[in-house]
Amino acid sequence: MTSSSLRAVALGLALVGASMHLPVQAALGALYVAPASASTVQTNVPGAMQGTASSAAQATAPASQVARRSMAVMSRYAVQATQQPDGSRVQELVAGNGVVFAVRWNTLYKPDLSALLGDSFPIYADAARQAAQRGGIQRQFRLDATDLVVHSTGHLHTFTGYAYVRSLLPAGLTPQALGWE
Amino acid sequence: MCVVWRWLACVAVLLLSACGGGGDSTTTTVSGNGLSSLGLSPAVATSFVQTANNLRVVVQDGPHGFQLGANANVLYATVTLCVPGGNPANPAECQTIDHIQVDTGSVGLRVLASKVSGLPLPRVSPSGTDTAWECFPFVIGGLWGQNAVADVGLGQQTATRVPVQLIEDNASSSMQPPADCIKAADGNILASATALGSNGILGIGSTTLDCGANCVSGNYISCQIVNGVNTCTGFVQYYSCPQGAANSGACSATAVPVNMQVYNPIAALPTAYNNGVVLKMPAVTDPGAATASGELIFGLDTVQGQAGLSGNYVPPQATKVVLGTDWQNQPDSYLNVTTRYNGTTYLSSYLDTGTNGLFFTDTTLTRCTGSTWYCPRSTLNPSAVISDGDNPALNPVTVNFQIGNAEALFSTNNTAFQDNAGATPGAASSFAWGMPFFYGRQVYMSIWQQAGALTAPWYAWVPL
Repeated sequence: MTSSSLRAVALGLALVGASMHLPVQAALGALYVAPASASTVQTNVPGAMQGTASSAAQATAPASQVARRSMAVMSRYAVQATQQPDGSRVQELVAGNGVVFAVRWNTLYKPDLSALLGDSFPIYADAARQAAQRGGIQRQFRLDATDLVVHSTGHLHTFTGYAYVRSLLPAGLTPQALGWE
Repeated sequence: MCVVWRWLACVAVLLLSACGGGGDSTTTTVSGNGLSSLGLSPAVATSFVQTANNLRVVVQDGPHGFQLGANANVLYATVTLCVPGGNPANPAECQTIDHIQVDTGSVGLRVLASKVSGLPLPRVSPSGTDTAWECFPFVIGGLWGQNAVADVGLGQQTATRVPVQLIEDNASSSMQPPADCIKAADGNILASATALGSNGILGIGSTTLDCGANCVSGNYISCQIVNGVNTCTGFVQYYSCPQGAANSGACSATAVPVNMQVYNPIAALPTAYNNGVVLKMPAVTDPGAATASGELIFGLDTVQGQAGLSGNYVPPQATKVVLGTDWQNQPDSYLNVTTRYNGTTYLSSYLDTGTNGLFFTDTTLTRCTGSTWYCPRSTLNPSAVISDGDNPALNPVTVNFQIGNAEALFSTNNTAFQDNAGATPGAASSFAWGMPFFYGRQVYMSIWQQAGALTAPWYAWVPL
């Protein structure tokens, strides 16, 4: 390589920090289980879903997978935020019944949505496969299925998106209220 | 179920039926709304003189065989690939490839392997023996192919010994993509000029590397037990495959040092030209132009315009709008700028020649029937303010743009449109300034941490 590519060394490290890991506690539509390695849980809204924290299983996870997590609690749902050492992050929105009804991601690399969408993934995969048949570079995707909504976008080293299941939204909560639509 | 993020089926048909004739030379009788009998408006072009540091670029029909309705507003250039040190006059050492898509939303040169099959390009070998293959996903779709090292000729300049990707387009090759890559590409590996809409992609975005630390470490996928189920996320980007492997099943995820990762060819040009580009595109008016020909200039703030050289200084009246770089604290604005439009702030906003329209949310606009393109009754002339990524209060610049009736635009046979716009949901999400932004402007786009006064990448622009 030329000297110009050697200059890239510093950038490569500065640019992306560490590798992406996105351990999720539950996929869309699945029951949320308190993270094995959760460090803090805040439940400062009366009546909000209570999370529990345990460090028992932490030793079983490689250190690189241990994420910094926090639990922000809203009135009708809880937000389980997972941030990795590289800054990639996933939010899971958990309804009062413990079911994950929405996810949002913000990652350095294209995320594997099968891990985030769970049982809803085949619907997404089918739609994405159809969309991909258009060909060419595609940086915007929206699926507006009967029950599942997925929006995904990205360029360079930044991928963002969200997904929710309409029928799982807590009563009275709209996507607009989430600031997503 | 309705997948709305696709081109209108009817639009695709119209574009298809329209594209048989080729664009550049077909300007005949102009009638009615500015269209010839072939449904084409006149071609537009900036004056172009070949200099030491420029490259002709053109929006036109895709390469022969492209049968999908995606070839509007695709910017192409012709690029030469050589074995390192090769002589461009010797076809055994260099091949010239037309219809390479110029993409500021990705990094690295990727060409169909069949276009350089006669060139003995050295392979990339992180281990010293096995060869590197790469899976490169887009938001939808993706690429698979072997890596190689080439001298990349861009106009009169050469980026020497650049790692590139050779897109595997031999359907009978035994090296079909691994399952993980097919999944990363949403089941659709783009493996032909038809699927790609081009013979390759020239990624000249705001960074130097196509991967970074994830590939340096080789840790692409993490798994953990959740509810008794082993849940894994992430996709492998670089694979190491034994030479002569029977199939990709013999390949495994591999770490790739930065000097072997696919690299922004602009950043590998000689020093005066390697810190960014200027894109000059002619103005386009409704209902589009048959073709639009412009100029890509290498380097920023390094060359005064004179005989044989294209000037690349940012004019004093232009504002440098800085992309966000604070990934840890402000991920939404990372490698993005901010757009304020119609009372809404879009934190993830970017200029992108690889996006063929303007994409943002405005629920007050009429959408075309059956698609998310906008179809106002008459062309609108709104404005927006683009400002810094991490600190939106800094460097605000007002941008006037147009929103046309996409259905009417796409009913022509034109390939260049300055006002096709579509909806993308998410008030807090993205505002993508695709190709329409670039017409009638001279746009300056820097590469992160290359030479220059600012360390973060930035955009600047002035009217032509």
